[in-house]
Amino acid sequence: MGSCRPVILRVFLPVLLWVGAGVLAGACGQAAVDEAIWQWESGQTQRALSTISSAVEAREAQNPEAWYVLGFFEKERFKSDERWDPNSPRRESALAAFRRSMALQPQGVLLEDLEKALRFVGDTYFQQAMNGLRGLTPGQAAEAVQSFNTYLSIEELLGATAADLDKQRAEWDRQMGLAHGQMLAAGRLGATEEQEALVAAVGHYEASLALEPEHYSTLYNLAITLYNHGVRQLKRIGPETSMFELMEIQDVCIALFEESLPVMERAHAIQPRRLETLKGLMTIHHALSQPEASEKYRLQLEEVIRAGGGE
Amino acid sequence: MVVAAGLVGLVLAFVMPQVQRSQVDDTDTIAIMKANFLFHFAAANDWPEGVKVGAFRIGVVGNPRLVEELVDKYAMKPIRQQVLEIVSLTSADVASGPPEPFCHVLYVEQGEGDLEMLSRALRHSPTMLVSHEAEGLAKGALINFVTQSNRLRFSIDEAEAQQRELLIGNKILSWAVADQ
Repeated sequence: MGSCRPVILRVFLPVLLWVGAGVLAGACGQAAVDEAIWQWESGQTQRALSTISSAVEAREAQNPEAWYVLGFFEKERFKSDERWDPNSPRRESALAAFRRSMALQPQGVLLEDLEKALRFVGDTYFQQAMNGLRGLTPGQAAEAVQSFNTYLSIEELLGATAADLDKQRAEWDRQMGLAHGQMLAAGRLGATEEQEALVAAVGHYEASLALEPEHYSTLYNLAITLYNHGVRQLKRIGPETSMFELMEIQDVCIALFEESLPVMERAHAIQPRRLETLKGLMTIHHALSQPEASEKYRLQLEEVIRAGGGE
Repeated sequence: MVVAAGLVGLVLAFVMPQVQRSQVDDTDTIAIMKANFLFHFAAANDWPEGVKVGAFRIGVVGNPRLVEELVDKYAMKPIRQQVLEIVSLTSADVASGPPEPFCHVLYVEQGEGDLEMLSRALRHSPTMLVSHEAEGLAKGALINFVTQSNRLRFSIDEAEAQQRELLIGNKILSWAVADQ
């Protein structure tokens, strides 16, 4: 029974003694919880689940221990029967039961065990979000975001402060922006997917910046995503491109370059001696046909390198 | 809890180290656009019959990245009955006059050649001299690249083109902007 057992001994034993003393009124439900645990430990897992499910639907609806036990059973079934399947409904059921238990304000050892169980479930959602993040594909993004949101909601339930949550949210959105940028850079997306990935990348970076507006890396990467997307469009120009299409593509690209420039300037203002930002500004100004400004940053870049490299 | 959140932040920050450093794509975007413009100048204008034999040449003075772009995407493409050839030139190649062999289109990068001298030397030749500098048309170029609202555009000296027996196509004329 794992971590469930000590709780039962410490919390249920006095209750059982109480029942033995003849106070029967509320004890039938409590006995159902104990019975479910006994069934579980003797290998009758399905019966145990059935017993505890019936209990929480009736007399034990307000008993945090009963909800915890239900969650514990579901969690164990998720591990053993469903082999950690990320789409497992058992994990969701376990989480729902743990949430219910938490809402009933458990105390002492039960609270400790509940937190431990919630942390375990939270870690599985976090891991799932990370797996989605690595080698992100267009179809995976929504699921990864959902997993991360679930993970954060568990963190919140466990008492994480708003500042902690914001920090994690900002980092997540930054990483999602990068992952979408990586997907774009790979150049294997169709036109619609590419546009969606750009919107998603920009959206994640902006969400991250809303929480941490002066984050150098987020600003820099957002600027690069916008700029490089423009360059990707231009690279498609070839002998088959008509003059009209050329003008149209140019308009789209220049709009992206113009959007990229102030973001890169913000990054530069935060870390003025970063080589990649100076190179970025030099390149964007060149693409905007602003040779004087491009030259200014080229000279700064040279100066920083001469002085022993940037930050 | 604070420790746990910090650890998670750390895991997140390092989970994808391979994408931490995005790099600016330093492809010369202006060269891409200029190459396409030059290709259109070649394809949509018309030259006297006397130079419609052999290869069709676009010469580029002093812009290796533009040459690369042209060679990569446009070389060997047909310009009517001719095959497009790209000629890379330096300012030394045009210091004493037009380059050899004959170029149908000659693009001179700013500061890479004496535009006025070249224009004088090409006065009786059907070479379409293209520049990208202030007052390029006044210095004798037939087409000059200009920047408008951060966009690359071009203006044309149509009268001078006619004098050199070069017929500027309607498509090209329609996109030309007024000389600045």
